[in-house]
Amino acid sequence: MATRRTFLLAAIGTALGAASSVAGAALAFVLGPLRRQAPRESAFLDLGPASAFEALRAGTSGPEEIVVERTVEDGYMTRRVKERFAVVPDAKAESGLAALGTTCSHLGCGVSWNSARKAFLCPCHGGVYGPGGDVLAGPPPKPLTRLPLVVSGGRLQLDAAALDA
Amino acid sequence: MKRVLDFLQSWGGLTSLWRAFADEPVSVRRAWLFTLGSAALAVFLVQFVSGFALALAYAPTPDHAWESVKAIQTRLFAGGLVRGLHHWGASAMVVLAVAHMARTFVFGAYRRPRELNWLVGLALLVLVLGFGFTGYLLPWDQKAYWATVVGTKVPAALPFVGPAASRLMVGGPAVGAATLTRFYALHVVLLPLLAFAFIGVHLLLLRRHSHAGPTTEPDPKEPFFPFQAARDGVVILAIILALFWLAARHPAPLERLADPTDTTSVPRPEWYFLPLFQLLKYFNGPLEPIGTAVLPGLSMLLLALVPWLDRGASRRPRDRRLVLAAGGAAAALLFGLLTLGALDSPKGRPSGLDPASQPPPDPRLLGGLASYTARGCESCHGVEGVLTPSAAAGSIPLAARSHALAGEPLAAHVKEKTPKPAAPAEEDGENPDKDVPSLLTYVEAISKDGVRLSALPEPIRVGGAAIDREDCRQCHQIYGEGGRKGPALQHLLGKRDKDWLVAHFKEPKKLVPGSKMPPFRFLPDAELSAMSDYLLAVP
Repeated sequence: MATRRTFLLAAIGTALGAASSVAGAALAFVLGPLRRQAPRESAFLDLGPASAFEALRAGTSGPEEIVVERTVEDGYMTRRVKERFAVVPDAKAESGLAALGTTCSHLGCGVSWNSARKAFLCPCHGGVYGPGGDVLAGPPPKPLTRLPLVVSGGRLQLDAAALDA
Repeated sequence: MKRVLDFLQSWGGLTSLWRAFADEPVSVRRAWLFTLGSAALAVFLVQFVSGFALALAYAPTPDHAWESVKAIQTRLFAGGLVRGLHHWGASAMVVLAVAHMARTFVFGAYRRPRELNWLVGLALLVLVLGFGFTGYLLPWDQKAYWATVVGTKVPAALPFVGPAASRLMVGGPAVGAATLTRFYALHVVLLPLLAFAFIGVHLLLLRRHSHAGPTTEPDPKEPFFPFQAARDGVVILAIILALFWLAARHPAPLERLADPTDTTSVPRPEWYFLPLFQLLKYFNGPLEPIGTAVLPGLSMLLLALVPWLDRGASRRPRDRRLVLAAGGAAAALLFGLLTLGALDSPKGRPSGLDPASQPPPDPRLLGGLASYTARGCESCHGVEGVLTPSAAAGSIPLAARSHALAGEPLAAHVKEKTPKPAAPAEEDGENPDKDVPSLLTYVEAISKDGVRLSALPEPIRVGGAAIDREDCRQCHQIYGEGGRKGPALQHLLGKRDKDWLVAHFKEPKKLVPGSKMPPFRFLPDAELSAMSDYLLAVP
């Protein structure tokens, strides 16, 4: 039965609903990063002449660190970010080489090659990876990310699309 | 006076409001232990005031955050002091909140009807840790960056909600611009509002139920004002003096600018997150969520349930041995983890280099400084171009000159007026003036840019100068400049240690078969060691 009281309650409820829709809009904005990003088109990053990695491919020198710069969409801005990789020999790859990401699969610290221990060491929680990126010790749940390297026109190149995957 | 009080009363009941506050009876026994809450509140206000001041000069973008914090720390008036207060206040906040909670625990003060206030207090502790976590990203230095990389990955291992929570915290493809604005908004808008609200509820509930007081009879009371208020005042005064002392004597650190590719930094969180940091090491592979979520979550749940788990009639510690033993064991575990985490601190830092310091200056500048000293420029132009009061008549300072110093005439002046620096043994026959270009670069830097280098640690100065003099750049890139015959000299920390570098200088072929680098046996050991220090400090 519609009384004056139910009418007033309905009015108050409507006003509250309208007010909370503002919060809803703000919430949608806050949750924006959950939306799936469109996959990036493949763009190859140049790592220099392939001949420079001959010794590496032959296995006579250890993993070589390289830093590449690329452009990313980061929130409200587009910016250049640097990423570090270790180039390692890879018999299965056509180029004979692969790039290992240096982000520890545990909690994301940057691993680096230790020539004395012949392993990639994580400075945070003690993860240890072998020369091929496989986990030797410590908490990491997965090997280091392995990214394909291709040789094109004598230049070694890294597929940047694989970085976002 | 009476009329003023009457007026205030008629205005909004202010006089009776004050009386109700001031005359609240509080326990006399153990009264000093009841100052911890007020002290925590006072430090919260210190954080609010100093934080507001810092926000006036802080820019939450990856391009400017570090620079703005550096300006606050070094250039802006009273900036270092305010930032120091905020930095040390954050630690004091954690200490006081935990101490306040420990007292409540030992006294069993969470017993009915104060369970709700225990929960509110627990929420405030979570807020304090949230302030800490969101706050130390803001300087955008190495510590900030890596702590946040780890911190935002911690929830990712949770089932279902984990990845989404992690992505919401990061806000972008990786910790970066979007993360910085998110953390900033949380740190300066949402968390303070929540903290004020929860503190309000905490105080209202406290007034409603009053202090639980000592655990045994008798429990004599006295009015809060002025007795307990004076005790609070003494404790707060001591804490504030301590904060000022810390801020003045131990400035808040600022590490190098965040750089995901810089491997010279060994990431460690603030001390109050070290127990969690250490815990994360023990759970491998698929067990990871136990360390990141299950154990921390269970401990919080256990803490929240304490009032319902400990329900005897007596609040006396001796009647609650089991509860206190459990609490003591938990505290010992926490402290043990903290100690282990602290012991596992970075090793192999270059000696004498403050971890907060910037990357060492270009070797050319340090070579110039050495040549400036060796050629006796100081006798007429002062140390680093700044004259001392005792300088000889006719001395000309070089620092802060309004006009640029000309290249060629200056070079001629140097070659003519000053003695050649003595060259190390094997360099006879080399151009005795080969240090002049570095010297000119250095003079330009001190006169135009106000560069000052003599405060640097000695190994960095000596090592950089030797690297310049020996012209390592002929074959190696340093700071992106130099030849490419040898590998670039960067990111060495963690890969090479000092002993290796020194041995390699002496006999490169022994350590790197086939190396084309000439041996540098003729240099003194101290210099080789300083060169190694310099190279290890280059990011």
